[in-house]
Amino acid sequence: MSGLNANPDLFDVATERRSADDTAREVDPSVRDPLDELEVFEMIRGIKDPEHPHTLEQLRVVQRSLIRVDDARGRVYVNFTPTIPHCSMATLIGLSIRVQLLRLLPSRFKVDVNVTPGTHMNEKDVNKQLSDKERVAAALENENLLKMVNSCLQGIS
Amino acid sequence: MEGDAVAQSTEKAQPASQFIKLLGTLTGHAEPRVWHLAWDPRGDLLATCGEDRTIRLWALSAEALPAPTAAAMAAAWHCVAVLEDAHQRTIRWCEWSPNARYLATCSFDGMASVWEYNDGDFDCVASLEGHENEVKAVSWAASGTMLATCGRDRSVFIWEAEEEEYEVAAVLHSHAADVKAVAWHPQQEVLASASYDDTLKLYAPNDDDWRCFATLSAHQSTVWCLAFSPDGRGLVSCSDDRSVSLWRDLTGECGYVLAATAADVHERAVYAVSWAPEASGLGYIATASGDNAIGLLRAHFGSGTEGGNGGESQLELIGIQSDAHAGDVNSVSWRPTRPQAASTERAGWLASCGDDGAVKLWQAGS
Repeated sequence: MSGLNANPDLFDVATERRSADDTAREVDPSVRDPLDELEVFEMIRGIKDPEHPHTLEQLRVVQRSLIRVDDARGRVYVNFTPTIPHCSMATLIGLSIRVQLLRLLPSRFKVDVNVTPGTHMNEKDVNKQLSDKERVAAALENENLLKMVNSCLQGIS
Repeated sequence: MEGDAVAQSTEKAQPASQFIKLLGTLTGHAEPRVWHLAWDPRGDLLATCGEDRTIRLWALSAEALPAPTAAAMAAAWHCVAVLEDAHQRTIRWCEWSPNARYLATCSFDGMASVWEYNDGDFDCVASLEGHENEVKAVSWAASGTMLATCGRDRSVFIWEAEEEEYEVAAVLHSHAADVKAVAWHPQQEVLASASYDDTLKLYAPNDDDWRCFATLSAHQSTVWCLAFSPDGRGLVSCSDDRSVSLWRDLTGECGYVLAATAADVHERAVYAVSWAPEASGLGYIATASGDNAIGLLRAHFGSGTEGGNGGESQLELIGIQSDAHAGDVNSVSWRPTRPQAASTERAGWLASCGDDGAVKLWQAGS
């Protein structure tokens, strides 16, 4: 199968965790708690790569620095970086990120998932597919595709 | 002078300018996403469809109404029928036949269906099988004897109806990607389609077959929806690029050219356009967007003879109703108005639906 990166680079994880103070504020119900980049990162860091027994964080496909949150306007922007520029799984990875955020974020947030600029040969096509809500909705009614997405979302054991 | 200054600053702070007023909110769909809605040609019945695989029909319980306050309207409109088990997946689009006797629906399950409406009952009288996968839109020709469907398989099907038998009259493969919407010219035997390939196409009969005779390019991304003006002189389209384009027939033979574009109408994709019936005022166009807003524009046609373009035609943005829904607005439609009812309060009604599961009724204008 072409587009398969047999030996992807692995990176250290768990370098970004919430501090104890910060965590205390997060769980305090009396504090208005705007969504931040780390929360979004925590939702998607454990997603499994479709081809490897590694997480998207381990492969640096997702990084906290590539997430932007505008809590007031209800917008979340996530860029993801395929491990190789001709990765045939880019759309599936993007779809998994999008589905995870659709499931976990309050519905007031609008989510944009895009390939990190300059990191994929078909960047424009992948981005257009991922932003088409009708194609995404139809894909999620396709049992085979949904199975693949859910398998990525179960993470690694 | 002072008054002018105040008016200007107010306008800047609040572009919504109260151009539509909420009359009522109808809820009932089991899944939040309501994809599409359609008024019957008399404006008495509203059909809605969506992710929950049902079609809901809404009607007014009594014609005589007290002052149309939001509470009174919400109470007066109610769900009169739910059509189930017709489709296996999301029902993407629904449309009434011009004589109000049939309702056509289509689904991600690859099928289109035709329902007959008889004394309050609906029977599924035909299943149209032909598309390879998701069917995205359906449209009746003005004659009521032809139906067009389009889908992810990049094709447009034209079906000819004889009694209640539907036969494929043509399969058109002109687009390079999925076809999002189809619409028939209000008078002529001409069909228009909008696509993920960023273009619109026009089709007409040619001997025994149909052919694509024009491609309209202006949008920078997916064209989600299109609508003809009631007289057919104008065609409006909307896109993922957040713009709305006005096309004008300069020849009277569907020689549509780009007449005007309103860029950045919305903050996100524009999913639907609806051209108001003549009785509601000439040239009004409503838009539905992924930014949760409904927009109102007005088309102005210039003299339109010089230079082969649309002349001094304009697409004026009248207002944006922010937070019209608590989620993407997927569809918007003007209520048809019978000529004799033009002066009554029923003119200028809009219905909208969205990802928040709500169907809303609005009164446009003051």
